[in-house]
Order: sequence, then C-alpha cells, then structure tokens
Amino acid sequence: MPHAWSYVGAGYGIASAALATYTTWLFLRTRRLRRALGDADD
Amino acid sequence: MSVLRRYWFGASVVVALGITALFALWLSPPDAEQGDVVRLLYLHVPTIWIAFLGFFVTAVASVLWLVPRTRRTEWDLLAGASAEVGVVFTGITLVVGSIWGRPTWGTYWVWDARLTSTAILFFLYLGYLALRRTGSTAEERGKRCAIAALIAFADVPIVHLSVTWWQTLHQSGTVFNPNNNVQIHGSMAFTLVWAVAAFTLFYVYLVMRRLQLAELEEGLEERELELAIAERQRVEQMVGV
Repeated sequence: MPHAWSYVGAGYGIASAALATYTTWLFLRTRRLRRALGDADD
Repeated sequence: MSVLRRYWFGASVVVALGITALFALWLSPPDAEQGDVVRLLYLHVPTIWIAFLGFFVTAVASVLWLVPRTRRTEWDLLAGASAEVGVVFTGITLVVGSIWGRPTWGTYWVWDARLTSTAILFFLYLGYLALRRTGSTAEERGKRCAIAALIAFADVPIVHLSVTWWQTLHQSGTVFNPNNNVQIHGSMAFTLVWAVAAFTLFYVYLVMRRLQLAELEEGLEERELELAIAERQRVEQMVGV
C-alpha cells in the first residue's frame, strides 16, 4: 500500500502528542495547585 | 500511594508503552491485505477499549454516588476523572481510525454506524464534562452528573454492537464477534493483547493523577470559599463599627 508509513507516522505522532500534552497538563496543574495550597508532597 | 511508588508505577507505564511501540512498529509483521497500515490498529483498538473502560468506571462510580448508603464525594470525583480520560482516548480513537480509513477505505470519514455512534459517544461525554463545570452545590452537581453519566453510557453497547446490528462499512469485531471467531493470531495477537494491557496500566495511572488533581481542586475551592466568608465577615464588622 503506497505511503503506508506516512499514515502510520501521522497516527502515532498525533496520538503521542495528544497523550503527552494531557499528561503534562495534569503534572503542571497538580504542581501549581500544590503550591497554591502550600502542600509539598511532590 | 506514596510518591516513590507512584514514580515506579509511572516508569512501568512508560516501559510498557515503549515495548508496545517496539512490537507495533517493528517486530510484528505487516498484514497480508492491509500491509503496514495495520500497525495503526495496535493503537486504535486499545484506545477505544480504554474509552469503554473509562466510561464503565464512570457509570459504576455514578451509581455508587446515587445510592444513599454508598454516597461519598470520592465516587463523584472518580466518575469525573475517568470520564475525562475516556474522552481523551475516544478523541484519539476517532482521529487514528480516520487516518487508518484513508488508505484502507479511501476516505477519512463516512457516516457509518460505528463511526457515527462513536462520534456521538465523544460529544455525549464532552457534554458530561461541561455539565461538571456548571455552578451549583456539590450535591446538586453530583446528582445531575451521575444521571447524565448513566444516560451517556447507554451509547457504549450501541457502539460495540453497531457492527452486528447494521452491516455498514466498518468491519465486524476481530476478537469479539457473534461467531466467536478470533481473526488475529501469533505475534499480531500478542502485540494487540500487550498493547491493551499497557494502555490499561496507562489509564489507571492517568485516572490516579486526575483524581489527585480533582481533590486539590476541591481543596482550593474550599479555601477560596473560606477566604470569601472571612472577607465578608471583616467587611460586615467594619460597616457595623
């Protein structure tokens, strides 16, 4: 199938970017709220 | 869970996903008909599985919140956390499925029963997440969201059974189908099972983190409320003087 790897790359690239963005948002917002609440768990 | 254990769990998830990528992109063979495009299915199938799991957990947590004997704030927070992760994975399922559809079907999108019901699922739970942000008391919000979650969950079996009920473009289940005829074997089957397991671990990790964040958000709301009450009392005292 022509250009198969282009589609595979696009699929894995978009999924990785979405999951990395969501995970990073979780980490950053958790850290910001911890600081706001004066909690120093991590 | 202690911070150290959480780090180890996070590291295990990264390793499991790395092994998934290794098998999905390199070690598993191309499909006889689809060629290398089949590699997208090692992402597409686990992500919709996680979406179903996430919405199932949301439904169970919502029932536990609705029953007065088991009602706890944690169930409401778990329902919200699991739904949010489910929405992220449903979005990825739709995008990856569309990318797979272009070389396989010749189109990114068609109003097929499976695709349409999955898109409806995505928007139903987006609506649920929007509902969680509406201002009201925790009790009212919890009740409203729990009922909405149970209504939205009705679409999950429709999505799963859509390929059986309506014979449209999307192929029937490769593993779960009415004839119990598993159509994947060997290293391809191993890759799929491994990917599902790795993404399930990732789901557990994400829900734990999201739950922790939700608890912090609750704490911040309470603190802001306390500050607002203290400020109001101070102003009232000044006006009274």
